Amino acid sequence: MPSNETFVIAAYSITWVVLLAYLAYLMRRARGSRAEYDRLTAGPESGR
Amino acid sequence: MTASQPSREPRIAAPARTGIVLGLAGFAAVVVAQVHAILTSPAEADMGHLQKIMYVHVPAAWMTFIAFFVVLVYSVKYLWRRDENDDLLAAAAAEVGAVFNGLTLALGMIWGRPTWGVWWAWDARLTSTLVLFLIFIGYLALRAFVDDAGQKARWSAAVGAIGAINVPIVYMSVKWWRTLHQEPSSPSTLDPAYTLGLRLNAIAMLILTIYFIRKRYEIARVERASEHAAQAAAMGTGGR
Repeated sequence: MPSNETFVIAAYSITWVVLLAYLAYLMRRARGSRAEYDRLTAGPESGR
Repeated sequence: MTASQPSREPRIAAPARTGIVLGLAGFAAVVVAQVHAILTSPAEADMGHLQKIMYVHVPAAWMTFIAFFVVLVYSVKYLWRRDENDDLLAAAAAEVGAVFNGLTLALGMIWGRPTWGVWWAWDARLTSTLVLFLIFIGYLALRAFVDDAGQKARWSAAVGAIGAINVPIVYMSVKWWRTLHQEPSSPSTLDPAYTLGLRLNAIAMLILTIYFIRKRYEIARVERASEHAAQAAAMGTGGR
């Protein structure tokens, strides 16, 4: 069986993979939704 | 009338910089808290360095509970007031809660294998946590498959409110039944050498959870505004 340290490293690695993957998903979805909103309304918001 | 007609609804503002600051602060806090916990906490008498998994597993479980509590509050609020923003906030918290719930289960399995000798056991804590996860996967699937916004909001508010009732069952499961899982880890049940590390990691994860829910809610509002704009354009009302 792998050593205890291997399980600790696996736990922290999975934590970071999940957190960063979810962040990347949110960023991509935010960009997509904003672009769609701008397309459907008055185009990119100006004067802000 | 084309889809590019301006909507008469107030425009959704661009994301505020406070959100970005909160996200950066959350990730920085998690890094600092984890480094502190790994470097300063001594090896535990029985588990050795495996104890360090507690600093990610327990905060992930707490964030699951907090996110699903938010689902409960805003689902009930939606059923009471029928404000679609309450529905969107509940859905945002449900998605974030499901992410942390899945992470909690994965980390528990990684901790369980060297400690108990098995990846999974059908004990009360593990099973009730899995049931909680499946309820909220069902919640998200329901939202994905129901088209009518009002129906989606009503049904998911009902599922969210009922599903969140499972949270106290998960928490109390180690007290109500004889389980393989240990008693809940908290500053009151831990050796003082581990409490600061747990507190720091929980606070860091809480900042990140608030950021995730806030960001997901922001996205949901923009998507809902797009749906309204598209409907208005299709009906030729110019956004009303």
